[in-house]
Order: sequence, then C-alpha cells, then structure tokens
Amino acid sequence: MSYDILIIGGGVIGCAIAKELSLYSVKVALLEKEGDVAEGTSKANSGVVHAGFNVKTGSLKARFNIEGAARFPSICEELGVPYRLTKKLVVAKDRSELPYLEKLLEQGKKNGSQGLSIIAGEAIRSVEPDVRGEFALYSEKTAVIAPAEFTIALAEVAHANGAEFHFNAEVTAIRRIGQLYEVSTADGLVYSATMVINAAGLYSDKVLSLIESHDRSIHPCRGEYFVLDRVNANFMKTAVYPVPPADGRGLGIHITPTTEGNIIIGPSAEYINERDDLATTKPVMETLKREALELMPKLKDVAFIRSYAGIRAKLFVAGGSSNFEDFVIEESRINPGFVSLIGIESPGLTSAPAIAAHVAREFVAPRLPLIPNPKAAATRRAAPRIADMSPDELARACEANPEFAEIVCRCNHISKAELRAAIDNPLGARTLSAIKKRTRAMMGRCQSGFCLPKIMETMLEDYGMSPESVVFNAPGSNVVVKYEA
Amino acid sequence: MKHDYDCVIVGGGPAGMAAAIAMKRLGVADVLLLDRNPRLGGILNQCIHPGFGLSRYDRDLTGPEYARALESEFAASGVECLLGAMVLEISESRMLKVIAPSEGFAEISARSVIVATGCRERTRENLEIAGSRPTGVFTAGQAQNLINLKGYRLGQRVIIQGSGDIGLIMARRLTIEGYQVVGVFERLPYLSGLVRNKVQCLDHFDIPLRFGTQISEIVGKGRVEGVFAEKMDDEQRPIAGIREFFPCDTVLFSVGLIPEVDILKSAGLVPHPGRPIAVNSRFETGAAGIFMCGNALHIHDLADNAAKEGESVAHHVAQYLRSREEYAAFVTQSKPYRPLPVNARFNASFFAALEESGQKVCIVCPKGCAVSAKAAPCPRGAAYFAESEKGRYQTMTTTTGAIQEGSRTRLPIKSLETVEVGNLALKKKAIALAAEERLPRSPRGSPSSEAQFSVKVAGMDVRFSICD
Repeated sequence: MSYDILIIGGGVIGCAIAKELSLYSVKVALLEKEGDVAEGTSKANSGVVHAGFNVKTGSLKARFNIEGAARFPSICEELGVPYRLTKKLVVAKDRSELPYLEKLLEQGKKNGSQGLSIIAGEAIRSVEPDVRGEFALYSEKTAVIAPAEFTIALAEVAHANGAEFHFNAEVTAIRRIGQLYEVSTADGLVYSATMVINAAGLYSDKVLSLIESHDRSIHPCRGEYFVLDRVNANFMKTAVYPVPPADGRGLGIHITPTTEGNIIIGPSAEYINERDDLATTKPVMETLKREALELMPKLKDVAFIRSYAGIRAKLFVAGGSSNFEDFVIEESRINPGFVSLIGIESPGLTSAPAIAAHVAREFVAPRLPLIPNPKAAATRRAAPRIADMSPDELARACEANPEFAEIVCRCNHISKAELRAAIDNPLGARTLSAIKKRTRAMMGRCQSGFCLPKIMETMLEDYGMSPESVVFNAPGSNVVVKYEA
Repeated sequence: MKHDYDCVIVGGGPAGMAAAIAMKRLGVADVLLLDRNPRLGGILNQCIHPGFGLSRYDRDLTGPEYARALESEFAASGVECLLGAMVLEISESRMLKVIAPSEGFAEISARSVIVATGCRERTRENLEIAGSRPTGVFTAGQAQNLINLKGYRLGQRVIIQGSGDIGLIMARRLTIEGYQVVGVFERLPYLSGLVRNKVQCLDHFDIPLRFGTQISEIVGKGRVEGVFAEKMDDEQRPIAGIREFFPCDTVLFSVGLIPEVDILKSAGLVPHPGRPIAVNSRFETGAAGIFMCGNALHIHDLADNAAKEGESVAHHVAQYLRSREEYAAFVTQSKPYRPLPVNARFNASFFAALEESGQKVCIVCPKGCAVSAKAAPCPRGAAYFAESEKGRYQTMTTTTGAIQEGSRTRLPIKSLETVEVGNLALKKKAIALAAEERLPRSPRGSPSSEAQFSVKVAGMDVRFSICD
C-alpha cells in the first residue's frame, strides 16, 4: 500500500493533520494502534479551548495556542460539533496569591490573549455565584468543546475527502529505502510513503526511535477526573481554576462545565511508569473532591457519576529544564520527510488546528505539491440527536424514521437511530467505546446499566456480530465470553 | 391514542400496574399506562427466582409469573396502555412529552400523573472504587438481565460485592449456571439481605460470605483480572495494611438502589443526591397532581409492597380527581412511608452462635426463624428442621431454557419437584442443556407455558415447566 503521507496516531493532532492534508490532492493514510480515533489523551482531557495566558511568551505553545483558539469557533461550526463559550476564572484564595494572577495577566497580554481582566469580590460572584476566593483572573475567551467528538469529526471530514484510516495498526518498524519509508504494523501489513508524520502522542518518542536514536523521552503524567451528573449541575456556567501549582505539572485541579451540561473535576498530575496505566487512585480521588468542594461548596448537591484518568505526554530532553519543555515539531535531520510532533500536551487540543496548518505549510508543502482538491469539503453534518431537537423537529424525525422514537439510553436520551448511525460510522470503528464517544450512551448516571443489553442486542441482531466479539475498545476487552454448553 | 387523560401512569412494573388496576376499580376510567419496555412487568421479568406474590396472590411465584398475573388483571381492567413509550419530560402543569415507535412523538396532557418509574442500581462508580476500568464489571441487575433475558455468558470466576438480596440471589443463579462464585463481600459487619437468602443462596451452595470486606481497587486492562479488597473496622473505615488480592474475571456490584426520578426534573423537582423526592401524606409531590409510588419513591423489600403502595396511591388520586376539597381535607406533610429498617442483628457472631447451638434458619418463608429439634415456631419449620438434619437440602429450582435450539433468547423454567441442592450445583449445566434440548413447543413454534417436560438431574427425572 503506497501513499504520499502516512500519519502515525489517531489523536486530535493526527486527525487535524489528516483533515488539513485531505483538502489537497495528496494520498494520505492514518495508522492507529487502537480500534478508533480519539482513544488516548484526546478522549480524556478537560476539553478546554485555552485563551493562551498560561503559556510562556515566545514559545510554540503560545503561538499555536493563540492561533488555534482563534480558529475554533468557525471550525466547530464547520464540523457540526459543540463549542461552548464558558469563559474562565482563575481564582486566588486571598491576596497572597494575587501576584500569580498579575503574572498570568501580563503573560497573557504579551501572548496576545484577549478578554482578560482581574476582578475581585462581588464581581467574581456575579460571574459565578458559588466560587470561593478574593481575586480572580477573568478570561472571556475561554471555551469548552467535546474533545473526542471533535477528533472524530476531523477524522470523518478527512475520510470523506479520501484519507484512509487503518485501526488496530500499531507501528512496529520503520525503514527508509531511498526516497521511501516502509512502515510495518503489528498485523503484518507494510505501508510505504514519501513522508511520515509521527503524531503518536504518548508514544511519539518510541516511534521516532524506530528510525533513529535521539535524546527525547516522554514521561507519562496521569490526570484523574471526576464526572458529575447533569442533574443539579446547571448552577455553574464558568470554568473555575485555582492558581496553578508551581511544579509545572498542570494547571491545578479545576472545575469545568462540559458541552453536555455535566461538570468535570480534575485533573490531578502524577508521574507514572506505564503509559497505559489509566487507573484512578483513592488518595487522588479524595484530593479532587476536597479541593473542588473548597473552590465551590455547592458541588456537594451534584451526584458524582464516574471517575477516569487521562495521561499527559510530558516531554523530557536530556539536559533540559525539568518543568518546561516546548512542543517539538520538526523534521528529522537525517531522515528527510520524517516529521515528528513530540510533547504535544496542554494546550495541544487548542493548538491542534494551528499545528495542522503549520505542518502542511512548513513540512509538507516543500516536498509535495499541495494542490487544492476540488472535491474536498471542510464541513460535515453531524448525526441528528433527539436530545437536541425541538418538539417539532422530533415529531418530524420520528415520523420519517420510527427508530428516533425508540429509546436506547434513558439517561442521555439516545435513540436507536442514533445508535445505528454510530455503529455505521464512516471510519468503520465498531466498538462500544466508538459508540460511547459518538452517541454519549453509557456515559450517563446509570453507567450502561440499562443501555448495554440493548446496544449489544443491536450489534448482534442487526450487524451479525457474535456476543464475544463485542469489545469495549481493544481486543481482550470483551463484555461477555463465548457460551460453551 | 388520545392526547388528554384523567390520569397517566408512568411505569408498568408492579407499582404502576397495581395502581392502574385499582384506578379502574375505583371508577376512574380515563387512564393511560406508559412503559418504555416492549412488555409490562419491569424488572420482574428478569427475576426468574421464586418468592414473589405471597401476599397479593397467596402463592409463591417467580418474578415473570408475578408479572404475568398482574398483567392479566391489568388486561381485564381494560386500561389503555402504550408500550415502548419513553417519557422525555413531565412539565409542572402535567404535560408529558413522549416518544414511542408506534406513535412517534406525542404530547399528552394529564389531570394527574403517577410516577412509578422504579429505580436504578448504584454502580462501582457511585462507590468511588479506584483502579482501572476493564470490562467484566457489572451491576447485579444488569448481569441478571444479560444472563436471564439475553442468554449471554459473562465469564467464569465471579466476586460479588454486597450482601443485599439481589447479590445473594445472583450468587445462587450464577452457581446454577456453572460459574464459580469466589465469594460475596459485605462492607458492613452484618447481612444486608434476608437471612433466608443467605441460607438458601449461599450456604446451600458453599459460597463464602465475608463481612467487613470491601473491594477497594479493580485491576485489569482489557477484562477484569482481579480485585483488591480491604478489611473494614466496625465503623466501616478501612483497616490500614489489610488488603488482599482476589483473581477473578467478573465482578458484580449489588450495593443498593437509587430511585429513578430523572423525568421529574422538568417538573421542577430535583432531588438532592441520596435523598428521596418529598411527598405529602397522600403521595403527592410538590408539583400539584403529580404523585409517586413504588421504588421511584423509596426502595421496597418486596414487589408485593410496591404493588400495595400503587393501590394506595390510586385511592388518593381517585379522590383528587373526584373532589379536590375532599382530597385536600386529609393532606398532611407527614411521610406516608417508612424507610426499610436496618437490621444489624445478623452478623458473624449471630451465625456462629446459631451453629454452636445446633439451630438452623428456616427457609420456608421470608421470616427466617431459628429452628431446632426442640423448638420451632410452626409445624412447617419443624418439618424443615427434620429434613435439613439429613444434610441433603431439597429445593425447587429455576433456570432458563433456549427458546429455540441455537437461539440465545431464553425463557425462565422452574422445577415442579424438589432437587437435591448438591446435585443442582454439580449438574447445573446438564439442567440448562437438557432443558434447551427438550423445551416443548406449541404447534405455532412458540413454547407452551402449560407444557411440562422432564430433565434428568443426577439420574433422576425432574419435571420442569415454563414460568413466564
């Protein structure tokens, strides 16, 4: 299988690059080791579109953050995914923390971040009545998106424009033969291309090691979260952050309203040994709760329905400073046409659209002619959801297709028609996780208690799957086993 | 279907059906019952074990049998019913937004509403249990659905957290289906469910019960590989340093039920987590004309009691519809129900003392009396003791049979004669298998509920019949 460009990694960065390149007449394939896009860090983060005041002036992080954030409202509209301008408060408990806010304000202004001001006392309460704290940096440009949905939408646009997506395709070897790269995957297939773009996130250092030695290493830094129910959660409208801890690991445990009306609390920041250790831990769970309740006592009225963890790809460079490394986006000096993106942690999601444009312009264009593809479209129509419909729309939808009137998920009001659209997704990902990310079924307060039997039944009856072949994501994550009489 | 009714009942489980039947008897004819499932009965349909209906029908029925009995009373009442119907919203002025495949989207206005939407299960996440999130972790009722209604096999080696009745019943059910139940863990120092269920579901099948034990961490990347459990002190705080690993491929949580009241949010009624929706002495909520009963209001120990509550609510609603003045004259703010009592008596020392004194817990009825050779409160208890002294417990059993050969769709079946428990555990697969092969069919191809058929259990013919 031969391509112009191979992208390794189906996170938000890989998918944003695939979408960007799919607008041109180049042949692109994306290789992903999991069964779907958005299976790693891209599905387990705060989903915040940052305004750009947290990042060091002059860095790539600052540049792509500011550029990326500016593109988000229009991109989300094109992709048919939610964008919620929540705004944000960074709260100082008392006067002693005020200098941090002033520093952030100054840094933000230097970076070109708009809509920032420091407010105090009642002005804070008029933005978010329940917040405790004396001073706050108020950012009127901070927004939230649904990160997995956003990543999927990017991939679907790329796919519609002709980019190929290969799942369960873990890259095991890369060879350069003359002007071509040969990339082998765990399933025994070999792909060849003129260019390789390494967007493997947590594994980007390992992918680079497959072709050359280098001094960069990814240190996984786990962040645990709590998800709160939507019921009773609508008192909160603004993302609320504490003053960040000085160790540079993260932005502190914050409270973020999601696009769906839930609230998430987190993330913690803890260096761990394994890059796939997504376990949550009791002490951290207790810390999250305590710190969040200190910031906003009213959270005690909202039910905690789930916890989960995501992992930051923290970059370490031999001899570098320990707590700030910039994004690395560069072409190999010894392997021309091999581009790596390493250490794309926060604000990676916000930066993704700008990074994708940068990669196309700076690295791809000099090697391959980027002629606009006349058939390509940048827009996508999202699958209809009954939860978003007005009564009239719902009545019409149910009349046209009675499966819109058949409920599958009672917590989030997901219909059978939506379930089918998710199972029939254009990327061909057929796992429970793929359904969960696309429909939000199994994400509600019952945590799949009621919908799982119905979802499985649909996968078996209408799609001919065997019970034991229904997996959550990876092989081995089967829900039931083979019946042996 | 009309678009306005005197009363709309949401939920066709025992409480909702009993309320509908009573409404008709009380002369309220303009009633609509909505249920989101394709058939009535709610969770009863998946509860294939016996123990239902002792007070309403004076018989020991399985869950599906109890559902069918209520369903035929309901059918005779002539109350209108819409199945597959999901209520999306109820407004404060009792306008319901409903979808159903047969009707599409409908707005229905009601002079009164009875919310009988039942409950959901507390999950592993509600307990905030640490660890990874592998597959193979279920709530007990979800597992019951997957096994009894869908015919799936969940795994092999099971740990159950929670000694409530559902956990105990699932321990037995899984053993009969050929799973190895490693143990039932209970966080508290005493039993949560009925003593009778501990005896007939755990003791008779040699399933260990550990008090003061709580899963603290779940381990596994794809499927669950095991759990760490902590020992708790008498105040239910973990005792530092006592942590044990139990390998397993399946974990069930039976750790409590939460009233399912989400549709009341649109009527302006939002419960505080862990607290029920407030009602007045006549089961009316803070939204005028919206009433509640059954597990949606508070958790009941027996389906019979939920049904009884449905009947009482029907009385109040009938009066509400007849004369608002008469109704209002007897309203107080006092709670019309009492929460289930906590019985801390059945702890480890209770069971040790029982064994030491040579007494046994009688399992003939839900009372769970202690019986011995010298003393038994009733003749049936005395007979039970005499029989159990032989060391061979005889019991009726229920399991499922495939509706057609090769089909996963199951029907519940029950034995018409007693089977020795030891044989049940050893020959569990044979029962299920033989039943599948020999399930009789009516000429139309569907199994007949009257038909009896016999299955060889340890060389003996045991008669079975469909119990749905």
